[in-house]
Amino acid sequence: MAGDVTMLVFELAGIRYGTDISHILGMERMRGREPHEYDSEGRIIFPKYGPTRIVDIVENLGEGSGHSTGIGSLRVLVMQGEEDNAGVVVDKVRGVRKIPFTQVYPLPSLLEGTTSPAIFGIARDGEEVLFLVDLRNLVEDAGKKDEGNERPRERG
Amino acid sequence: MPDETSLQEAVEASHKVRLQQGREETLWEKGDFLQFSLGNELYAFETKEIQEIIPSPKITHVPTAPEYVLGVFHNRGVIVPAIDLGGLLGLSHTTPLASGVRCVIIQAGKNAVAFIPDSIIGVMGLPVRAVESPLPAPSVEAGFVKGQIRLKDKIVVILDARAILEGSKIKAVR
Repeated sequence: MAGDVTMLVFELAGIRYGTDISHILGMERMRGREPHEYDSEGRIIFPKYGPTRIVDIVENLGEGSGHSTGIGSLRVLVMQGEEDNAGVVVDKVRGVRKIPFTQVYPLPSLLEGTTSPAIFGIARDGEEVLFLVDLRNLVEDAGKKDEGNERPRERG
Repeated sequence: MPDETSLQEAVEASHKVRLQQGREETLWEKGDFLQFSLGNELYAFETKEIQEIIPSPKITHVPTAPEYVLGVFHNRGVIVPAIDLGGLLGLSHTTPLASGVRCVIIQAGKNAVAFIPDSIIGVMGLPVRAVESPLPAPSVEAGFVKGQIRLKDKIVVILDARAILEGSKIKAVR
């Protein structure tokens, strides 16, 4: 198969991930000192995207290590959900990458079933290895675990 | 001229001799083993199970993977998982990510996995008959051990790459 695949690369708990850019509406910054505006259901109101349910996937992927940056440096990847927008909190956004199909690999069979089911592959970006993650799957999973919003947890 | 019965006996006897010769050949057949150390123990894989020995690569941690999975790395167009073989075998005091050491990639079928031994001792050629049944140990019960070889005052444990690579069998010996 020829051609490239475009993905958004982000970092969480020191690990880099690539996700389908078509699932992402946009990106916002978590505010540290100046609080966000919240609606009655506890969702952050981003002026550009409206009420957004914050989902922290660091528990799913970060092995309990928490975020590696302060809350004020965190980024929110806004995704369109079925009922409302979901905002996935990540440590850093590394940008959009075009990666050749030849550099995209399935998970080695030895790893199947040993890591998060949302991770479906691996890509090579130069010397870096990225884990390809289905954020929609993680958002659904996190939504089942935590009904409502949560405050991102810093490492420590 | 021999009758039919004696000819049949001769054929059977000849067959037995050939079988015996074949068995003798098998007994004297030589195998090459890559010998290495892990912790205070000596281990070996048959060289036919070794895909490659490379300088220790940059290993990327796999989120939420079990402790014995050190991570993955890219090698010649393939993503290779790296495991803590010492941890898998139930050894303590191993150094799974020691720097400046070499990495051994073992293979079985289309799958490969890498580990980082403390040191690589070399390749030894030995008669296959020298491989004895292993002594009882958790790693033997887990199916990771094919046998052992006695070398003077040392015992070298022969590992089974296929068993180690089979995902269903991968579980740390604790």
